[in-house]
This record gives sequence, C-alpha cells and structure tokens, in this order.
Amino acid sequence: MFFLKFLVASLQWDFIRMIIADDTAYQIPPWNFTLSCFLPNKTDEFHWPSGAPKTSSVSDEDHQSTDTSFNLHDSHPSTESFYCCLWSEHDKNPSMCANSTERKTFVSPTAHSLAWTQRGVSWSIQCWVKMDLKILICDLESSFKNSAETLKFQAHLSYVLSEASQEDSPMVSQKGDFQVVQCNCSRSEDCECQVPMPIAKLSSTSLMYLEITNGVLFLQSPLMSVKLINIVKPDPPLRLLMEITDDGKLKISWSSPPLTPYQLQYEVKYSVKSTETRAQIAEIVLDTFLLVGNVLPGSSYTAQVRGKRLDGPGAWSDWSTPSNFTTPEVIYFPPKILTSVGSNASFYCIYKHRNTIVPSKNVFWWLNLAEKIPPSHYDVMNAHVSRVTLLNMNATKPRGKYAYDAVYCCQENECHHRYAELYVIDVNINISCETDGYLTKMTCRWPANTVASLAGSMLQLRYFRSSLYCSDFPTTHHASDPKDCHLQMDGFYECTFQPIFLLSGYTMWIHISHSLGSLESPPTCVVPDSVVKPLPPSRVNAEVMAKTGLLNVSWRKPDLPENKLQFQIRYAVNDHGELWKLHQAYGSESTSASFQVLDFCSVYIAQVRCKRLDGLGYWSNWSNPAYTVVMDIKAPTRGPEFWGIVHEDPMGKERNITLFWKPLGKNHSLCSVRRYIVKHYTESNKTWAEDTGNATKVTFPWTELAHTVTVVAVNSIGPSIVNFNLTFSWHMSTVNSVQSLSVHAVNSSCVVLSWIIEPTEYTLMYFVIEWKNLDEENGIKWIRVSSNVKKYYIRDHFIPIEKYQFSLYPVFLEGVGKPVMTNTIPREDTMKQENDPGLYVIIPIVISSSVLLLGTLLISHQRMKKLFWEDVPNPKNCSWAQGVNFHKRVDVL
Amino acid sequence: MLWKLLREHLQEAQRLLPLGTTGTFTWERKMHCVALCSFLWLCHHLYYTQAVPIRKVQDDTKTLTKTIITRINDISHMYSISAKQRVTGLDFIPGLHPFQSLSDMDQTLAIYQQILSNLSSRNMVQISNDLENLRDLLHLLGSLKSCPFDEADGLSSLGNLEGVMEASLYSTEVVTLTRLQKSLYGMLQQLDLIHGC
Repeated sequence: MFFLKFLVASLQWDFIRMIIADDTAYQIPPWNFTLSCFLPNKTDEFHWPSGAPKTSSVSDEDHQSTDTSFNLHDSHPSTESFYCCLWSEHDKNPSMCANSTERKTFVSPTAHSLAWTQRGVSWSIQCWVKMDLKILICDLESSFKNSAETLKFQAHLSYVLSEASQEDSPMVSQKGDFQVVQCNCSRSEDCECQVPMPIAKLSSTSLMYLEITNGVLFLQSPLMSVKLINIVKPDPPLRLLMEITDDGKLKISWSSPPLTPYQLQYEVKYSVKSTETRAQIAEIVLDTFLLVGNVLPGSSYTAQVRGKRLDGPGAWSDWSTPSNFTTPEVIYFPPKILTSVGSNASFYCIYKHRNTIVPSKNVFWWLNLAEKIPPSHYDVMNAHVSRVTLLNMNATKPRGKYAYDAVYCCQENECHHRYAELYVIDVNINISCETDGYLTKMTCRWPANTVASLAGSMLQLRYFRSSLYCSDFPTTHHASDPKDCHLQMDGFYECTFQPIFLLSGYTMWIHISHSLGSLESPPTCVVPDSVVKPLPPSRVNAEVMAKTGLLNVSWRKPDLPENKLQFQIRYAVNDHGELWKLHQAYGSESTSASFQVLDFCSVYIAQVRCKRLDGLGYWSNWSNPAYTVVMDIKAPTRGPEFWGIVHEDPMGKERNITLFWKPLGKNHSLCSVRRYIVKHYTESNKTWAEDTGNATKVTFPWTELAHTVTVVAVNSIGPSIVNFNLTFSWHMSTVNSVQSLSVHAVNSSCVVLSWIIEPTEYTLMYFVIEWKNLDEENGIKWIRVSSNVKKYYIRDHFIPIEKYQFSLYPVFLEGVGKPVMTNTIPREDTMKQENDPGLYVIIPIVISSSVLLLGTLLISHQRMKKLFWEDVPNPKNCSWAQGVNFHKRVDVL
Repeated sequence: MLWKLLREHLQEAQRLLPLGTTGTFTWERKMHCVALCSFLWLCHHLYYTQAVPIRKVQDDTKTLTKTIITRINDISHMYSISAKQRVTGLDFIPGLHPFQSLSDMDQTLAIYQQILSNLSSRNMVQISNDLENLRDLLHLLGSLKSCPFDEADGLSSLGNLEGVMEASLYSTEVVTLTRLQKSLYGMLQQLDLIHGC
C-alpha cells in the first residue's frame, strides 16, 4: 500500500512537470467531450464512437492531427497501464493526440478491473460556467450505465485558475497551485463537479484534470485547459411571445437573459399544427425576434428559443419555456389602424370558415355590421388574402364606449365575430400664438379636447425654427424639438417661447402618440412678429372741451412694436350701462381724437386700444378707463320754470307770494347751476334782484298792483339768457276764463281733468294746473299746460281716501287769472273695481256655489230621512217582528 | 433665361429617359439627373427668395433696428448713463463708425452679438436673438440685391476678453449697449442712404 501511494505520488510529480513543459493542454469545448481510457494493447478493441477511426494510433501524432474527425488527446502510460484520451466528435479544430512521453496519464499498476481492462471505459463530460462566473460545473456521465462496477467510483477535479489568458503567457503551474474538489457522484453513473471561482473573470483561464477511481482502478485524465468565456452557458431567453404583426406575419419575440456579457445568437424552434399542415422548424437568428410568414388561421404554434455566444465558442443555453399561440380563425392585419381624417387605410384578412380557408375572391367586407363596403374597394392579394382600402376617411364618431369603426371580413352575409378596429382621428388642431407687447415672449395655445376620443394618447407640441420667415409649405419632415406645454383651466394647452426670434418662422405641430401608432397634426408656421398683441396705450385722458363741447380723448402709444399702429377709441356715458360708441383712428402717429357728444354734462368713460396698421397681430387690451370731469360748457340755455302761490293775510292787510321752481336740469344748465337770481319788476318801475343761492323757493311781499318776477339760473359761464316771467296783478286775479272744471279719477295714479273755456279779451298764454292734498300742508304740485289743451291727465300717486284740491289757473299775458278749484276724493269703488277686475267673476261664482251647496244639503237631508224609515220592517208582514217594540229601537238610534 | 435653362435640362432628361424605357440607368444618365435635380432645387430656392419682397425686408430691417434701440432704452439701468463719461479698456467693443456696406454692418453686428452672448441675462439674450435676426435680414437683403457678402469674422477669440468681461460685467454691458445703440442709429440712417450694397 505504501508502495502504491509512493508510486502514485511520483507519477503525479511527473505529470505536473509535463504540464510545465508543455502548454498544449486539451482545450475544453463548450459542448460534450469524452474521456476514454483503455489499455494500449486494447486500442483496436476499444469501442470508439461512430466516426472515430479504430486505427487511430495514440502514438501517431501526424495521423491524429490530420485524419481523425474528432479530438483525441492522450496520455501515455508511464508503465503498463490505462491510456486515457480526451476527444470530441464536434470539434472542428482537432487537437493532437500526441504520443509524447511528457504527457502521461497512468493507471495504478496494481489496479485492475476486468470490464475496464477488456473494453476500456468512457465518460461523457460537459463543462460550463454560469453567467455570474461564480461556479464552473463539469458533468460526467459514465458509459457503464446500470453497471454494478460503477456504483462505487469517485471523482476529483483538480484545478488552478489563472488571470492571464493562455495566449498572453504560458501557464507555469506547480502542483501546489492546484486545488481539488470532490465531485458529487450520488447518482449511479453521473458525477457533478462544482468548482467555485470567486475571483473569476471572463478572460480567466483554468487548468484542470480529473481523477477517477472505483477503489480498484485509478484513472487520471489528461490535462485540460479552458478559457472561461468559451464555456459560459447563458441563461435561457425570457418572455417568449408570439403575435401577429401588422403585415400578417407571426412574430416570435423574446428577451435576452439579463447580465449577458456579450452578444448572443439564438436558435428558435417552432412547430405549427393545423388541419392543413404539421411541421417543426428551427432557425438561427441574431435578433430577439423571428418573423414567420404564411401564417395560417386557426393554427397552433409552439416555440422555444435558446441562446449562445455570437462571436467565439460558447455553450448553448437551455431551451426556454415553451410558448403556445393559436391563431384566430380570422386574421386581420393590421388588427387595428390609427390614422387621420382624409387619409386612406387598408386592412388584409385571411378567413378560415369551417376548417376551410375562404378564397379571397369570396370575401366581402362590412363596416360596423351595418354597411357593406363596395367591392370596388377590395383587392385579391393571393388565393387567401383579401384587402380592403378605405379612402379619404372621415373622423370616427364614437358610438357609446366604442371609439372605433369595426371592420369585418365576411363570406357573403356571414361574418366571423372578430373584427378589425379603425380609428380615424381629426388631427386638425389649431395652434394659435400670441407675442406679448414687450416682444420677448410668444405664447401658443391649442385645445386639449381635440383627440379626446382617443383614450390613452399623449400629445406633444414639436417645433423647429427657420432663420427668417416661414416657408409657403411648412412640413414636419425636419429635425424638431419638443416643447413643454401645460394644461390650463380653460381646457387649452399653453406653451411659451422666451426669448424669441422676432422674425424667425416657428413651424409647430402636435405629435399624438398612442399605443396604436402616432399621428401628427398639420404643421403651422408662425412668425412672432406677425402675432403681436401690443400693450394698450397709456396715459389716456378724456375731457369735454369748453365752448366746443367736443369729447377729446388723448393717449400715448406703447413703445413697442415699432410698426405703425391703428387705434380704436370707445366712449360711453358712465352711468348708462356702457352703451359704447366706437371710433377708429388710422393715423399711426395719432395721439388724440375728438367726438361730438350730445350730452355735454354727463361723465364720459373712454378707452383706447391699438393694433398694427398693416392688420397683423391682435388688438391690444383696452386701456385703463379715463373719465371726463363735468364742467360748465355754456351759460344755461334758459331759466327754470317757476310758479307762485299767493298767501293772503286773513285780515286782508298783507299778501305774500311764494315762488318755487324745479332745479334746472343739466340739459339746460350746461352743466351746473351755481345760484338762482329772482328779478322783480313792479308797476312803479321798481326793479331789483334777489340772489337765492341754490334755494328753489323764495317768498316776497306783493305790495303793488302788478308785480312781475323772473327767475334766472347762473353757472360759471354766466346767467341764463332765456327766462320765464310771471306777472301777479290785482286786476287779472279776478279775470276768469274757465267755465267749468271736472275731475275724474282713472285710478290711483292717474286723474283726468277736463275744462271748458270761455272767451276773454285777454291773451291767454297757458294754464297752470295746481293740485294738493288737503291733508298735507306742503303738498302743492303744479304743471304748465298749453292754452289749447282741454283735457289733461295728471300722473301722480293719489290716495283714494284723502281729499285733493285741483285748481286750474289761466295765465294771461297781463297776469295770472282767477283759478277754478274743485275738491274731490278719488272715487274708491270705481278705483277698486278697476283695480280688481276679477271681482266681477269671483262674486257670482261664490254666490252660485253657496246656493248649490245649500240645495245639496237640503236634498241630502230629505233622502236620509226617507231611507231610515223605509228600512224599518213592517211588523204586520214579518212574523219575527211581531211583538218587538220598534219605538224603543228608534229611541236608541 | 432661367426658363431657357430649365427647358434645355428637361429636353435632355427626356432624351435620356424616354417614356416607358426599360434600359439600364447608366452613369451618364445619373449625372444628368443629378444636374437636373440641382437645377430644379436652384430654381425653387430662387423662387422662394424672390417670393419675399425686398420692400418688406427693408421695412423689417428698419423696424427690427428700432426695436433693438427701444429695448436698450427700456433697460432700467441705461436711463441714467452719462453721455459725457468715457470708459477705457474696452477697446474690443466696436465704436461708432460709418458703415460702408451691408456686409460692414453685418461684421459689426456679429461682434456685438458675440459679446452679448457672453453677457448672460434675459435682456441680453433677447437682444442677441434680435441681432441674429437682423443679420439674417441683412444677408437676405444682400442676396436680393446680389451684393457680395464677406463671412463675418467676429472677434477671433474672446480669450483674455472673457476675463475683462467677468471682472467688469456692468461696464461691459453698459458700454456695449450704448455703442450698439449708436451703431444702430447709424445703421438706420445708412439703410435709407444705401441703395446698392
């Protein structure tokens, strides 16, 4: 035993020395390779796999390098022992199986096993590294399957990891550098060796060899070398999906596994099963999808995919989880179309009906199951594919929750329930822009609800700038930038360009992104200079000019823009609900304008706005309002109308006259009254004036036979020129020209007076009607009435229960005549009837109803009385009633 | 003249590519097509250029010049600048000199634009944009009048000037705007006088 161990140790040392001397270790391929061990004299009997020449001589170096179709690495036994080789059927670059004494593998000379010595032994080995490079795994599978001889064999893998690649520096490893891991041979014929590689990199290289023993035999593989990147086994691809593309192909797509350090190639195998065909196909692709044509409706597809390093050697990943996909019986491609108004769209269809594909010439197309699309719109693409083209389409009108038109592919009048969806969107989005008055900012707005029917769409304004002006035909085919826009409360998006290029052309459009595709609104080109909204004119002033009475409005133009401007002026009387009058001032240099106004004495409000004279851009906002200050324009046009009441002392000694007048209106005072002056003229040519200030009442003694008074209104310009006179004459106060006066109340607000005149020798100028409530002291009212009037309606508020005195004064040129008076109470009954016309109807109805009710009661009473006494049985005709005292029952009742 | 050239090119194209031809597209034919396309592009460009009336370009040039002047006036700290005070050490800012041509104006404005673009404030950026538009207008005016236009050199390198501007930002801004405003006034007068280039 000791001898055996010593021999093994010495041979291992030889082996290590061989490694140092020779850098041609077996390059582990990313696929399966084989370790075969046999006695040298049994090479001819060894069970080589098919394709491997039995004549291969382990000692014939040249022959192996040229003739063998598989790699055969060998180790020459140092003594009579097993001879082990590594080889692979798939290796395209066969390595030498040298009969070099420096490359030795041995079997313990004391070991023997009948089966192994007779037939040799093989292990199928595959080594790979997971993508995280943490573990190198080698799987060993023995050729002695289900053989009792392998039950107890053990394997060890010795390895050393080097940072440098083999090409960079030849490996020089000492035995002490190797580490040993025990392989897990728990299963009968398989072992798994896991080599931890905590510091491994893709460029790292590992040297290793296997030691296998079943307790009797001891085998050691030739030295193996591997660059880790060459045996990395990727994870299988993820998210394998199948779908029908818009052009009617089956798209098998997947995702590459994460953390892939290099580009992968993929192998896709898929099978199709339908009533017509049954096939399985495998293809190698570089993209992460595969397009399969000639998709058949009603077919079942199953696909799997695996990946491998594209450039250089690598191991195939495991196959991905299978994915199944069954194509519908009707295939529309594209299944959905999003397009804009006015465009054309085409749908293709393959229709399988009752396990038979409908010939395309027999296909008909319907819209919304309501409208048959004319056959002139159909095209036969091939035997099974039909196409329909819809031209110059209008916008889809949403029908309830359906925002699309349903397009059906049918056979005669029989349609499959599946349909294609057509979304036609009106993308004519109006983008309007406005440049501010400082010419530094352009704000563009566009309505947000334009494509509201297309749920889930994203809108974005895109633009590009031309150096100067706009082209006649703006286009979106240009490098563009997005612009941030913000939704406003009024349902518009707003975007701001600041600073701006005043004379550059900004071409803008709305890009509509949707899962179905993207659309673009027609482009709009705007030059900021042409959409200026100026600032309103400043320093606006309004005044009504003295003497001319013209309303003059002045302003100052804004500093910018420098273009010629036009102006609009509007004005109105301030308290009259702004009934504006508008005037235009085209003069670019205009700074004021005057207007003829009717009411000089009102406060006017005036505003001004401006716009470019060439019509480009917008009107500015109206300026801040300017108000006129009321000033006297002229002297009052006339004095106030006045009336006088004569108060006579009961003793008859003294008479006073009280004059009162209504304050002069603005239309006569032009525009204010500073004071009133009463001028007196007496029969004795005495004249004086009395300043009453703003009082509208004055009393003076009437001492002479005739006394004439005039009331003059005075404003800042001067006294009124035209004034009324009134003469009080003792003589004339006895002259009566009114024969009769009658008063009739129309209602509580109107009383009509009528009178009859008798001719006199004096010149009658007018009448004055005076009325007063006799229950009030200071309730005198009066009105001047023309001399030719015979009837006059007085509008006032009359209280029906109070007494009024109406007086009619004839006023002659010579003086005030004798009045005719009448006291009256406006008739209450008449007024009430007139006030309540329904009274005529209601009273008869109430009376009639009362009579009817009374009659009904009387009749009812009689009927009840009769009813009671008829129902009481006659004791003479009824046996059971005989002897009953009915008088008593009546009493009870 | 243009129509004659165009007609000749069209005839040549028709000769080389008769209707319904199925022959191969030779190198010679390709070259003629390229020439024809270039000629059509030139015609389109000339048409577009002529589509903008020279009068409008002149008016826009004057209006934009006035606009820049007003902008400078409206900058608050420009109100109180004394006209008598001179600032030294800023010789790289162009002074007032009579403009000889549209190209001369463009050269001067290019320098101002270069300086303003280094004075980072919103007002300056806006004026710089205006100057770019104004230069574009001068170029368009020049092309409409078939004037020779030199490539604007600007300041070859701000180099040390950047240090000067950083240390004397306010002075640089005030002097630049003041001189620019004067230059623009000069331009306005010259634009009325220059009938040629």
